[in-house]
Amino acid sequence: MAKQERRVPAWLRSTRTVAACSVIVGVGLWQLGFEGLARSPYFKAYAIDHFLASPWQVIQSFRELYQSGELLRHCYFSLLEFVYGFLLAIAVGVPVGFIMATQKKVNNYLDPWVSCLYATPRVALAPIIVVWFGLGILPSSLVVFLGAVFPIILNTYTGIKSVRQNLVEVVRAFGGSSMQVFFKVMIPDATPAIIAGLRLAVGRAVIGVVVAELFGAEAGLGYMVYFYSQRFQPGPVFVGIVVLVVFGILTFIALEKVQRWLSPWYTYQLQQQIQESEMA
Amino acid sequence: MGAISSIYRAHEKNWDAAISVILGLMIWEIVDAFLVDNPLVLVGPGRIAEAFFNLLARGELLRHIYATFVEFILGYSVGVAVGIAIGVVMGLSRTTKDILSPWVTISYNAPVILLAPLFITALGVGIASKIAIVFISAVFPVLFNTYTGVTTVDGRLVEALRAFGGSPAQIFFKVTVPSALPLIMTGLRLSVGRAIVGAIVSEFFGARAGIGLLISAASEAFKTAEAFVGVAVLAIGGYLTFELLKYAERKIAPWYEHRV
Repeated sequence: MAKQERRVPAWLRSTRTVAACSVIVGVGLWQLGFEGLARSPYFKAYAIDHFLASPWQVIQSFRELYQSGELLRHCYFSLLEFVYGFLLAIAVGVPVGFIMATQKKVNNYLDPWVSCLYATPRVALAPIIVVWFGLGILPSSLVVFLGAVFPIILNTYTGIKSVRQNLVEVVRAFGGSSMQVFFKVMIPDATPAIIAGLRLAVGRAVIGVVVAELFGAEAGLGYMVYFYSQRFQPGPVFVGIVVLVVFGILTFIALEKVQRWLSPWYTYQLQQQIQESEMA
Repeated sequence: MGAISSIYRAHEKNWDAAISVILGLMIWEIVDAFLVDNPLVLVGPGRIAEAFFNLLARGELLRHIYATFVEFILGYSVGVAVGIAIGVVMGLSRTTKDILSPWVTISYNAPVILLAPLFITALGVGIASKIAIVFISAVFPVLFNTYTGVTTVDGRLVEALRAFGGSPAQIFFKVTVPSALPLIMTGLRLSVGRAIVGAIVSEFFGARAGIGLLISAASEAFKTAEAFVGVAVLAIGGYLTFELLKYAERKIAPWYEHRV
């Protein structure tokens, strides 16, 4: 075993090389396997090309959708719904979480409702919301809001609750006002947890956008996926999924950047230290 | 008076929760009965209960619950088994991890729900397509958490066992499995939510029975109360599964302090 490792150069065994090879080989196998399956007479009867597309076909449909301007229009509508819903969720979720963490009475009264709604799969409300608010951007934005607001409330709550009390006491001991405690200690110390909540919320919000668009929409990525899947064209469906994956990853990275910019002192080491001191 | 206030203070949180729920339901019912007279826009708890008993009496509700339950159980249990197996292999072998991790990362972050219409084209409107969707929704959180659990085993414990002559099998069963269990249980809990959403949304796309079908068919027929019955059933089902897994977690891994 040791001999073998010495013969293979280190850069060939690095995680990145292996991962890149895995992706290239996987996509290649997918392409070849698809061509072989779809063309072989035995599998003709299963109409594989009605629900599966080869990577090359996905690229083709991406080019077609992009050139006709259709893709950008759908992306624009979905993005709009996402932004409206998500901003509303932040505007509601952060204050509610903060009040629940600081006012015990409010927490006691709101907690059963928040926990109950958090346990409910909120996308199940999508058909009802579409019936209430009709077609267009509003119902989808509301589904996004419902999906995103609860992780934000809960993480803000946890973040404010786990503000290090020794820091609060130091500021108080040196005569800091409660405003100063709020802005100089509580908000900065809770920021990483709040942003972790936003990151959780992104995934839910993306699912909210596409599910709401299934029911009543004239545009949007969810609508696009549904439209083409009903016409047995899997290429555009995979295009929609790829676009959403890229969007999800970009938002994830952006939120990480924001977190580093807002609370640069919050490193992995500090996180570990805080956890250890909590356990002790 | 003193006795009442001391009873109240002993369980203040529970009393407040009860008061809040009762008050909320009362306000909801009053608004429905006297202020907004439009069963499409607003249905009170009374009408939802009425719809619930109607659906129950017609036997429809149990049929839908049964269909969704079967989809959930079959897809979820296969997803959990496969997720744990692949997660353990990825955690133990670096090469497997390097080969699989780009695919796992992509699939974990992708909204796999969007594949539902394709699965229905491939496997039909019956139960098979839903089981497949539940499976791919449930498998990745379990896989990810199992992998993390297996790789974050305390190296000191492994070394101690090795120093005293423990075999690889002993290290695996005495150290790796117990220390990975809490995270695996967390993965199981995370998967429940995803699996339920997978079952419901794939039923929206076309099904013969199921809670998702009940909700979408009822709201398209403007029977808002019946749709809310479906949502309430889901809320209760999700809550019960969640609590059951929390209980199992405490039984199986009692040394792990439960967080959130």
